[in-house]
Amino acid sequence: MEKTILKTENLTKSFGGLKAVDNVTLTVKENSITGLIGPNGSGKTTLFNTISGVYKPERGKIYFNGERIDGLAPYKIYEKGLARTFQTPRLFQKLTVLDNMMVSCRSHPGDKILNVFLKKRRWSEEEEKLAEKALEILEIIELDRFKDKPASELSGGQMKLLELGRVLMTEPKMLLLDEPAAGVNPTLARRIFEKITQLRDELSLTFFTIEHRIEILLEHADWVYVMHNGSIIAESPPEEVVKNKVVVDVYLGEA
Amino acid sequence: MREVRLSEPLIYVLDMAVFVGIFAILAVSLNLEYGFTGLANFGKVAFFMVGAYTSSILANMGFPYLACITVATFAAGFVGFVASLPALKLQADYLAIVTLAFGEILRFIFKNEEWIAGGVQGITVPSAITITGVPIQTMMLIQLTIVYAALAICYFIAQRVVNSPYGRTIRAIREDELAAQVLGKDVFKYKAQMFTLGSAMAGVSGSLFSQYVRFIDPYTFEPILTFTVWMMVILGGPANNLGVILGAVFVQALERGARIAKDYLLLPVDPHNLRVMIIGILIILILMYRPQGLFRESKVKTPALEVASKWKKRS
Repeated sequence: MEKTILKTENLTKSFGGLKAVDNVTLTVKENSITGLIGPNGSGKTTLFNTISGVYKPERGKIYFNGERIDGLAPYKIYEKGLARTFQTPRLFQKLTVLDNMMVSCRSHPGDKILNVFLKKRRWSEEEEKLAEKALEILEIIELDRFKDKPASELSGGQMKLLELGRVLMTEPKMLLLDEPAAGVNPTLARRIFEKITQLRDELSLTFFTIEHRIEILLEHADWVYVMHNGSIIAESPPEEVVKNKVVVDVYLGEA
Repeated sequence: MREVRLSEPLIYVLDMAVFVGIFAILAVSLNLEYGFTGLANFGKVAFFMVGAYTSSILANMGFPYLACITVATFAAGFVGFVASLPALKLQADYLAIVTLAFGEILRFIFKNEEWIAGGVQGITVPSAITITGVPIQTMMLIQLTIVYAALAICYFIAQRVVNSPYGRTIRAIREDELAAQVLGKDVFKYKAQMFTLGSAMAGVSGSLFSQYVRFIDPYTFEPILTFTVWMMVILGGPANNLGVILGAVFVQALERGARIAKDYLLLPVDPHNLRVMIIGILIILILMYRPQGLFRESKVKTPALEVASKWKKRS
């Protein structure tokens, strides 16, 4: 757990005059579950968007596995093993649940135009294997019943689950999760995080997750960053965060 | 040679069938771009035009049909590729405007540069099929066979593309470009490939068209032609290849049928003008009551479907 997998240095991104991400320097240790909390509008999602390449940083550097990734296109960052989910699920609405899973397969031989014609047998075999894998993941997140339904027919919580399942298909090294349990009932939210912990242990994944429910982070996270007005104001193990005076003032509020 | 009356009903039917085939190829190609990938190409006619002119110039130089159609396909595909590089950087509406303008610019080039293909005078196209002395119906049947063989090939290619993991990715790009990007898809590459393939198919269609009508001029390629193809896709059902072919049958039946009606029936209105109204009303009705078109989007048919259907029985 000592190796650093993700590091940002003096990362800054502003919109007009507003510094949404202001000089953020942080590290995420490999194989950890690192939480990111902060009031609404504190820049958490912008930080994720900047790390995943959706926004180009104005200033600062991002290292993933020791390599500079700032300024790369999102699909290149994904190729390096850093995948993400969105706060509001961005599913492929008209595609079926299974197709949503299958789209995200990494380096599928049938995903190249020439192979579609020349290597049908090879990609068909691969397709069958990947479909099995997709269905197994769907079973874990309890969506296998809906596999043939268009994603648009799922409920809000199910959409969040499908988005999580979809990134798991990509065999990432690290996942940025933007509120994976928002809008999901408490039991399921707990199970999602149990799943995340299990995946971390079994597949040695790293998770960097935005989450508002501090009690969930207390239970599952190894380290928590607190963001406020674009800056990191505190970092510590979760049990210490709840005692931190500044954090309580800006975010948790008096009990 | 038996003398034929050009008003023979069979000729009308054959003529209609040939036009259905030519336009069905265009509809399939636009379906790849718009129906599946979400690219609003309002310059479809440009690539049809490149195919038609390339083929005509080659036919005038004495090349055989196969050479004309092959070169026309590659020429249109190449122009499509080059045009896509700047155009695909734009979002949907702007892509529509730019492609529309591109078609018109190209048309004006053919119109004003007389040395290319006669400018406003147009260009007559010698038949690249060297069969003489057969009745017009036989000649039309030969044309018909060639057109439908080409349609079959284009349909096969389109079906193969959309029923594959690749086809799934282009649909995903249509649904949410950003999500596709963060899932590792080089969105621009897929779009450019589909635009190129769609343009190449339009080139095939243009070549067949010029060989059938045997005379082309810049007025043949006005933007209304693009919109006719759009009607076929919208009526038939975007992202359903069979649907858009039926859309082509429907729109062409109205187009050509109106001409037949004009010649044969005594109506108080001009059916040829009436058809524009009928198509307009139909599009409004379809968009209001059945926006997905007559046919629903087709499924992505890959071996994954089979695996999924077995899965149900197992659990």
